[in-house]
Amino acid sequence: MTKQQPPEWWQETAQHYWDGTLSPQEAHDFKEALEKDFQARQAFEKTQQTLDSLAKIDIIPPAGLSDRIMTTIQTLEKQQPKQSLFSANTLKLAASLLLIIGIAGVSFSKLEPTPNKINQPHSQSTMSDQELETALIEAYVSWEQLEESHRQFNEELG
Amino acid sequence: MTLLTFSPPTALDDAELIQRCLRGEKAMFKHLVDRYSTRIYQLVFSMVQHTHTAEDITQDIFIKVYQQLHRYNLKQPFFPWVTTIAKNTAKSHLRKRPLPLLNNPNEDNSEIENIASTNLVEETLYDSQAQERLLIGIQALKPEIQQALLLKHSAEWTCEEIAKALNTNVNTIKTWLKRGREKLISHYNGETDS
Repeated sequence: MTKQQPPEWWQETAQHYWDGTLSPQEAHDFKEALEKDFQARQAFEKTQQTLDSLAKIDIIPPAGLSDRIMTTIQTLEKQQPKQSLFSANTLKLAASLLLIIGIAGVSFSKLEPTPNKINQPHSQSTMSDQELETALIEAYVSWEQLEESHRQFNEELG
Repeated sequence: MTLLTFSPPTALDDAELIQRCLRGEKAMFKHLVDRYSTRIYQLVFSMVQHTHTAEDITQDIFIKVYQQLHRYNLKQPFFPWVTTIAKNTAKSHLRKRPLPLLNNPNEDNSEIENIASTNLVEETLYDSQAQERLLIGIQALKPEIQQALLLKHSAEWTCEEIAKALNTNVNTIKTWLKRGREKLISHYNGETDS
C-alpha cells in the first residue's frame, strides 16, 4: 500500500497538476503516486471482497443438533444391554474363584468332612449372601489348601 | 432416567457437569453438548466443508465423548479433550472419503455445490462463478490453512482459539492466515496460482 498522503496535499497538488503548474518531475511523481494508490486500493478491495465472501460461508450448526445428539445417545443406550457393575476381569476372577470353591467343597466333603458351612448338606441350595461372603473369605485364606484339594480331586478323577 | 429431561441453563463448570453425569445424572451431558456443539461443528466443518457431513460427524463425536466420559481426566480442560476426539473422528472420515475437488471432472462435486447453495447467503451479490472460485481456492490450500481461514473468517474464532484447537501457536496461525488470504485472493480474482 502506498504511503497515505494528507488530503490537503493531494488536493493542492492535483490542482497544480491539472493547472499545469507542476514541474515535469513533480507531475511525473504525482502521477506515479496516483497509480500506486489506485493499485493499492484495488488490491485492498479484492481482499475485502474475498474475505466478505468467506464470511458469508455460514458455519452454524443446524437447529436442534443438540437434541438430535441426545436422542441418538438415548436410543443407543436403550439398544445396548445394561453394563455390569463389574469389569470383565473381575467377573472372570469371581467365576474362577467360585469354580475352585465348588471343587474344593466337593473335595472337602470327600477327603476331609469337617463340619463347615460349605459342606453342610443344605448349604449348597440355601447359601445366603452372608454365607457366600464367608465362604469367599475362607477360600482366600486357605488358598494353598484349596489348591492341594483341587490337585487331589483331579487325581481321584484320574 | 430420560436423557431429554429439560434442564435450565447452568453455570456449572465442565468438571462438575461431567462428575454429575458419571454419577447418573445423564441429562447433565446435554449442557456439555449445548456448550460445545457449535464449536465442534465449526471445527469439523472447517475440515470436511460440507454441512450434512459435519453434522453427522459432530453427532458421532459427542456419542464417543459420552461413551468415553469415564476415561476423561477431570484435572485436564474438557474442550481440548473433545477437540482431539473431534479431529481424529473427522480425519478418519476424510481418510475414508477425501474432499472432492471441483476441478477434477472425475470427482463428485455435489457436496461443494451444496455448500455454495446452502451456505453462501445473499447470492445475488456474488455470482456463482465467483463463489465456486472461492471454494476451489480454499480446497487448493493446505488443510491446516483451509481450517485456519474458515475458522477465522467464517466462524469468527480468534487466532488464540484456532491455535489451541489446532495445537499450534498464534504466530503460526497468523502466518497461515496471511499465506491463505494471499493465495485465496489470487484464486478468487481469477489469477493463476503458482
